[in-house]
Amino acid sequence: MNEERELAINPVVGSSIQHNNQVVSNIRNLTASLFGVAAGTLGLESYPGFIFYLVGTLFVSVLLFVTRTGGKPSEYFHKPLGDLWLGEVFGGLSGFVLTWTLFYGLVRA
Amino acid sequence: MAILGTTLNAIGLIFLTHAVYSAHEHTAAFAHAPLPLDISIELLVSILVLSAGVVISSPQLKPIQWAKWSGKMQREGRKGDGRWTKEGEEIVTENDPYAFLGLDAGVGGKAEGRRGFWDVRAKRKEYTEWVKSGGKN
Amino acid sequence: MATSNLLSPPAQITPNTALKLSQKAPIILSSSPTSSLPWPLSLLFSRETPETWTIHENLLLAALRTGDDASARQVLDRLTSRFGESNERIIALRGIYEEALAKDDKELTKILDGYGKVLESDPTNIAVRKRGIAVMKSLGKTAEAIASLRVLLDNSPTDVEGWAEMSDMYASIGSWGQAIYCLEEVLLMMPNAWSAHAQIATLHYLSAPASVPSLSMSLRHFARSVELNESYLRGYYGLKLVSKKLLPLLSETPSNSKRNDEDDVPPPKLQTVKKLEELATGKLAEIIREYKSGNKKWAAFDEAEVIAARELLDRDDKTER
Repeated sequence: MNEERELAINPVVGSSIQHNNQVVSNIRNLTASLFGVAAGTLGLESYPGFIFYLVGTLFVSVLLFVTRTGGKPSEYFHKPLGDLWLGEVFGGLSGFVLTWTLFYGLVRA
Repeated sequence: MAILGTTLNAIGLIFLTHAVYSAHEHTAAFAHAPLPLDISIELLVSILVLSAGVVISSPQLKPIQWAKWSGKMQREGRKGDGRWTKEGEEIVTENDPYAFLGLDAGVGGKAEGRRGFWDVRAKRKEYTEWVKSGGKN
Repeated sequence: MATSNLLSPPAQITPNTALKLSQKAPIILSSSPTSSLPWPLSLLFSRETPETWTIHENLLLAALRTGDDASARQVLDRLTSRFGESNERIIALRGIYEEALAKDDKELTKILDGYGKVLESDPTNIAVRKRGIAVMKSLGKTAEAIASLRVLLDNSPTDVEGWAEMSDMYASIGSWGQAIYCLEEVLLMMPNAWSAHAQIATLHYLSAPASVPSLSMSLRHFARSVELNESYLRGYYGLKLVSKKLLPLLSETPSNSKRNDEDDVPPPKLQTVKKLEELATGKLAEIIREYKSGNKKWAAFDEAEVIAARELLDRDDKTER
């Protein structure tokens, strides 16, 4: 069954999708900066820093999955893999790098 | 949930500040020594607590499937997200988008809606009769 | 509570709610949203928000409804000074105010003539055209109202509100076919409107309560309405009622009597109808149970509707025993 037909039969609510994506995006941006603070203070450099970030976002994804979606992400996200687990991962990266370098400089230098 | 989130955030922030301050003092004293284990653990724990607080205090997600979304609204009623106008009216964000058709109360029903065709005299009559009958319900 | 909200009034306003709404008039009238300072300064110190004028409009209607004509006049004056006398909506609101104060049908007819004059100078004024139709309906001239509404819909066929009103008018004089047609137009523009599906199903049911084709159409639309809203009490109620009527009819007529009419949708299978009936019964019972137990997450149902659903289920139990 093609997607257009599927959407006509089981419509989705645009405003809810927007709201959910906004919530995920806000959480990602906030937590990314926090992970940056930790990575900078710990003195991580190059790859370990990015791995730290990925582990942190995975932790946040699990938290979202458990506390916000109640284990049923398809009720809240059109594409759970892309929108919940990987959603906005790279959007938070710039905030991460910003605070990472800032705190690295403040604490270490 | 809101109180839990705020508490987690507060605790996390206190520990994070303390850990970062300790790390700063440590590196100021011993420039090239690695960070002591207790500071690292405090830092990591505070980050985990803070991110849990951020997730828990975030607004609830809304169901995206039409049937689930409208069903939730039907069960729980209209809702706002806690914003109010200056006049003291709540801004309702979750609302039946088809209420304006006025089809909810059946044929010839008393549903509001179709405001362009609002019959002011009938409504006034209904109200005066209600007052005369003693104003019940 | 959200029930007496002037910004977005509830879908059904009881006289009690109307009273609560209009009692907010003194608070809102006590502070002016516009500034009395000269032009450039007034822009800086204005207190108006996009919601302000919606609230004023709803307050005007609530005040007129409860007979608080003095407040209504004040609100109307505010709106007029903000948007100007010749604004389409202001003309219509002023019309509503005059209609409310009209003492008898004669004065009302005079107002209707006034609308006619406005329309002569500006035939595209839809708000006033709708007022005119409302007055005709109020005077009991349904045929004229329908004719006038038809003109309106000819000129603006995407006016969903108009189609819904037209359907209601046709239904009130028993022209079920036309009423159904009008609602189908509504569904064309808003295919996800569960209330429109339920309404069209109701019309199909009322048009011929004992014929298989219209009952199956009704069943279809009720089924779609609960597909679009998983807790739609009216939809489940209708589903139960219609399937109950349809079951004996379907088991009487042999299912293989083919009719080669292209427009005719084949009647649903007996098993399907049975399953739908069971589903509706289960859902209705769930709604009644949760509502009676005072579950906060199920509190928004209309009490009268829940009682009606319960009676339907009780009646059903009795016939089975």
